Amino acid sequence: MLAEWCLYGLVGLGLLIALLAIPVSVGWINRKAALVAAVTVVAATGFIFLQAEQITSWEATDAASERSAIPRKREDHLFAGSTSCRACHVREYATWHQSFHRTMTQVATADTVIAPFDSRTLTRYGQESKVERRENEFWVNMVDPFWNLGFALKGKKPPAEGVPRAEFRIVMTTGSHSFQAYWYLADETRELWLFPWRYMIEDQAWIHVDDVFLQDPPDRPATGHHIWNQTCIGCHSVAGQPGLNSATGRFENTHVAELGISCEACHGPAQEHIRVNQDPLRRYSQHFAGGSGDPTIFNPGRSDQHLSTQACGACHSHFHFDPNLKANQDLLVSGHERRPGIDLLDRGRFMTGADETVMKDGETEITVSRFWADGACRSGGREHNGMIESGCYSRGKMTCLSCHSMHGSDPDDQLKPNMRTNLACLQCHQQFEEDISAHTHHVTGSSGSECVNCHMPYSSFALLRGIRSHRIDSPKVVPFAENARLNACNLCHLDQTQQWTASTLKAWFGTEESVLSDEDRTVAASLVWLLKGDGGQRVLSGWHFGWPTARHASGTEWMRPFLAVLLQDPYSAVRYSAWKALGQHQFLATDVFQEIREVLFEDPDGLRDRISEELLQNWVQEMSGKLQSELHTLPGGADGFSESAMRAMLQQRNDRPMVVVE
Amino acid sequence: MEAPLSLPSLTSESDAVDRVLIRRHIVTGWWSLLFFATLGFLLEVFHGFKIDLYLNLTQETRRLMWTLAHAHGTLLSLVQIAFAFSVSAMRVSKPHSLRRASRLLLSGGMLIPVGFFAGGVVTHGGDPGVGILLVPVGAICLIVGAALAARGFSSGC
Repeated sequence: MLAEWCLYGLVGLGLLIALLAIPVSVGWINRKAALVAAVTVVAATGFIFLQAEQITSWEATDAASERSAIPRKREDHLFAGSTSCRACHVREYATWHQSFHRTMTQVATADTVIAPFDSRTLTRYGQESKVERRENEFWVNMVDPFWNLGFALKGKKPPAEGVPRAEFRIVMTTGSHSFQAYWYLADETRELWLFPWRYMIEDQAWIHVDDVFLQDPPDRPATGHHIWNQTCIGCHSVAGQPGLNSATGRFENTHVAELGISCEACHGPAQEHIRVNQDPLRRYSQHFAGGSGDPTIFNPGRSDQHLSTQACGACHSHFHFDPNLKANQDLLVSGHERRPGIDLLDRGRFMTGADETVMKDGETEITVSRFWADGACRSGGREHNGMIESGCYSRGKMTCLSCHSMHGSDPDDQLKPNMRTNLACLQCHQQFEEDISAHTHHVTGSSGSECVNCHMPYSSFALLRGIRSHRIDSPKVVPFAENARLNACNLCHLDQTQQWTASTLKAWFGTEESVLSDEDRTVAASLVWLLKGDGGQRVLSGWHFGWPTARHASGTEWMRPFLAVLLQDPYSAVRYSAWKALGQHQFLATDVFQEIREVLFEDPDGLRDRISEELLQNWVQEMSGKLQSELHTLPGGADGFSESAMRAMLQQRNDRPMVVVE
Repeated sequence: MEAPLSLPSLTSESDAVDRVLIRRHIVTGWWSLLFFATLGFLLEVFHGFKIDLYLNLTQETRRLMWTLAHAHGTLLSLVQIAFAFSVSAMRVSKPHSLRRASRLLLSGGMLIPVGFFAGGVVTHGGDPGVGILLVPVGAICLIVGAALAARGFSSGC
């Protein structure tokens, strides 16, 4: 820094001398006068510089009103911010700038807010929220969240009368890819609370936060306790410090290095790196040195497998901080303080299937689920837990960067070029390159010969859709049971039974067959999961009914009554998956499709159920006899589809209360 | 009616040196102007046809370097021509000072734009290639040359 300023000073002085030489040389002023002028200019310049405040790019981009609401910048000068990286890492900055990581958390402005704040009213639990744009500000008028919270803490429903209302300005957003969530300043503590409505970007529709996750349907608002300063700060910002005041129990002193997921989230604090690399000799020696790179910054691409994957896994995982460690004592005050390049296992452990827990909501016990019964992670966005259990990782060299990249990749999924093809796997498993169909027993080039469809099926769930499992393993038939993971084969061959799959796997690969029930042997696995499964099984089965690959493999005509029935599911996420699948199939007239959408999540008059029954009866009458000779894996078996058999299976639905933690 | 202005007639050895300098700078200046103006045209063609080599989001350093090469090369070409006219317009008492200035100005006029261009051929993120090292050398030549020229012309006034 000092050298930099000395250089500036010398250049400035030289320019000043050159400038003053002109009037001296032509005789306008004498040398003494020129010297006095030079000294005066230098003194004035120095005074101005000393007085000027340092304006960081953080503050320069935020208007005063937003600055007072959003988390403050960290004061420890370890972190530099992404704009400081840009000067040297042009390509990396540009590619990151295109990513959805950058826009994970943003100040709410006309450029960043996606949802229409068009003065519409949104209603849930009988409570209205109004969203409104006032010039370049975004406002919500809603039931006083503190009033709602009072009832929520007591486990009671708030009354319908005498409901106080409050108005808040939206100051920050989360997300810009699938959903966008909105945060308002709760009160003078600077806590940012979640506006209970989110915006679904593809559907272009508002959705209540209680419908976004697969969770046991609440019958009352659980607001207001999503607090950004506590819940989101760890992964949706860089080096966040929640700033809990233990005396008040409020997050009053929140600081971040930067909003969004930017350079230092993966590479670590950069101030020292910037400082030492201001020396051009050092920089150029690094350019030509190669090797393991600059030790003053962490580079996942040049690190060992373990630490490289943790750069992503620090956030994309279910991780348990050991509460007995001293370093973890102040998580709610000073934050996680994870640093890329430092082993996370020194702070705790990655969760496993043994970590399934139960929480109580009044008298109800709700399973807080992160894993399938076989230990595979079931929630999207937490891929690291699955990957470290894969043979590709434990016995191979796989890292996240084998397929993904922040720089030079498609922002959708951050996959590197060609990594949507079998090349992703063939880069290591070259033995299959010549004749893939000999291994897959499916036609080359078909979806059955895509490695990921068998070895990374969509058996995780998040953002109201299936997500590919990152525990890379081979399909396995598991008898139907609570929380049993759905197998890849039957998620594509929706019309086939688990027996069919077991026999095929044995014939092709010698896989040992499990003992299956009569139902697993005679009824399509997808329907067993759909009708009898728990919420997590039903939602994924329903989602696959809309998956184009599965539709192509299974045919679609027989799906209609089951999707109709699924519209009556108690879980809104399951109903949504059925509705989306119905839309994919175009089984419904547009007006009916939209009509269902209006009552999909809340249906006080029972309209959705009536529509569902009507659809079911219409289709049952159409199908009766039609598919009798074609498909024998529907409820009813060899005699053809039977509505009563279907309803009998529905009666056995696993209604265990559960929530999938995303 | 006043006599029209005319250039001082050139006599003696110093005048011969002046003629050499003038010719050298005029010729160099115009050829240099042709070259670097053409470079500017080429850069515009890259813009027009959206050539990835130049316009890719990640080629910011190259764009900067080649733009600087064009700008400096063109401007310094005019400096050469201006120096030639300065020599022809002024009678100086220290021609050796101007000869040194001439060599330095010519060197600076070449090294700076060539250095910028070379620095943009291979880049290292936000850093130009090692060709950029020609630029500070050229800059020193230019500054010293300009100082010598200023001093030389001042002594002749």
